[in-house]
Amino acid sequence: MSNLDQIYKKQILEEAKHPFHFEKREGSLEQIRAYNPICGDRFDLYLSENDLHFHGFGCTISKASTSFMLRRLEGKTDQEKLEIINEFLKSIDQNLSINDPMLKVFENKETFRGRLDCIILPWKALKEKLEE
Amino acid sequence: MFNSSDIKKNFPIFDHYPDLVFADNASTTQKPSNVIDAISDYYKTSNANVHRAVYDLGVKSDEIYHNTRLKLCQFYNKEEAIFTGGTTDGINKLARAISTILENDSNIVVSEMEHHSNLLPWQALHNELRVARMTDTGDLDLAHLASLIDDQTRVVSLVHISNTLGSINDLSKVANLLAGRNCIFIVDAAQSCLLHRDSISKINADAFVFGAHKMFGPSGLGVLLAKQKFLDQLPSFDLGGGMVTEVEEQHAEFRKDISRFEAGTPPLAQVAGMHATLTYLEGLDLGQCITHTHSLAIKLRESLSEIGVQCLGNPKDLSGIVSATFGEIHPHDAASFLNSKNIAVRAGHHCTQLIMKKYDIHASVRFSFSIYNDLSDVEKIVDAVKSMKKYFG
Ligand SMILES: Cc1ncc(COP(=O)(O)O)c(C=O)c1O
Repeated sequence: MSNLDQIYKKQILEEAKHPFHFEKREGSLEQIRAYNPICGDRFDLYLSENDLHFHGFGCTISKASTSFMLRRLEGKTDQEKLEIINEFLKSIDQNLSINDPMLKVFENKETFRGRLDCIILPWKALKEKLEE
Repeated sequence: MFNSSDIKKNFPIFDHYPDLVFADNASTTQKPSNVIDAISDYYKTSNANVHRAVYDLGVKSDEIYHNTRLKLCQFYNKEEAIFTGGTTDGINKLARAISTILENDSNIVVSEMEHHSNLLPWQALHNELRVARMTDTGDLDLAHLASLIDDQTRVVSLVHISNTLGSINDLSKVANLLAGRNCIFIVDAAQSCLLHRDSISKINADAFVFGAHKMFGPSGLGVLLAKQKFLDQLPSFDLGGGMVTEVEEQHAEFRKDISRFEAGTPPLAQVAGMHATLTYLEGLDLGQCITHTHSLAIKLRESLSEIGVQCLGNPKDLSGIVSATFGEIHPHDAASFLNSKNIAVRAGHHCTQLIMKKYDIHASVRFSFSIYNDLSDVEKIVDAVKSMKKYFG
């Protein structure tokens, strides 16, 4: 597989094309902005009791990552969310293997050189909010 | 005859990466061997601190330092050259020093097409900041600029060549507009210092700011070219070694020459590298270089438009820079794809968020050519864009 195809694995391209709960939700309990000032990527995360939505503008990687994150976190308590987020961010940061079959696409730092910020964008934003 | 493949041989990075299409020259340029050698030779044969060294090695280092300063003044036909840390550093230093001589009701004029480093330092002052618009084509709107200038305008600071759109602003016209006014005129020459020596030498401005790394020179060094009379009004930028005549416990007397603008040990090896940079540029026909990079940019714009790609603006006078967006394909995805084809470009807002807002986008992909690029690079880019559209389509 070429390096390009490793970044843009089928699952990532598919997820970005058909993102999970990609719609604006006015009146949600909480709204968080995940913003990367370097590239202008900007997603709003809409958190409600039972479901999570997002909307906005970003690259394939950040969009897919946000979408996967919501799939993984929906229905979890804040405490559980934070644990999953921390574990994921740690795996990215320390280049550990990822057990979660869905998130495994982001394994191997080398592949995503220059694009790690895109992966962690929504995760970091939500983590900050949950830790408040 | 201009021959970019001969020129390419002067740049050793392409020995290491023969297939690299380096189209990110607006960010920084590659270095020719004579510049790389000059830096290494400096450390091998001339390294000693400057400023009143008595021993031979120190005198030699001092000579290199001062000869580079002289060469810069001659090259651009300006009165004084001060070494700084770069374009950003130079503008920040100027803004801080100028702030001490402004009245409360003085206003400052910049444009919508400034790099953030010629915007934020002025925003940080407490004076009114007026922003001249650009036209939809990406040219400076001179009529609007003129309408902003009044008797309280004490500073006009403008970019010479837009690092995002590639537009070359006709700053001689702005200088004429300001003639006879009590107004400081500053030029951000970050993108013009490399090839536009002629036009820099003709523009009647108080100060020109640029960095060596965008003109085949070393990183970490900048230049501020200025008129003596302008500098005379300003306080020193920083305080420290190498700038005083007499120091008492509570007070110091400063030297009158430009050493009062260069506190501490300067970037010595980089200055040696800068000398070699100018020597390299002297060996080029800069007029031909401008034509060459311009024609690459035009060719790219035409070819991209044939395959339905939107380029930003359509400047009257274009340098070697073209920015584009690819519809649904995000600029960072585009840059990653191009990277897989050995094409180095930059994606983002290029530190020009006001331009992004003007065109209602968040980011663009920027292609910026130098004299070592050629038509085959443009062809490779266009081919890659075609396959990219299929890949993400
Ligand atoms: C027009 C312009 N001004 C200022 C700068 C800032 O230069 P530096 O980051 O080298 O200080 C740049 C660099 O991108 C530029 O293109």
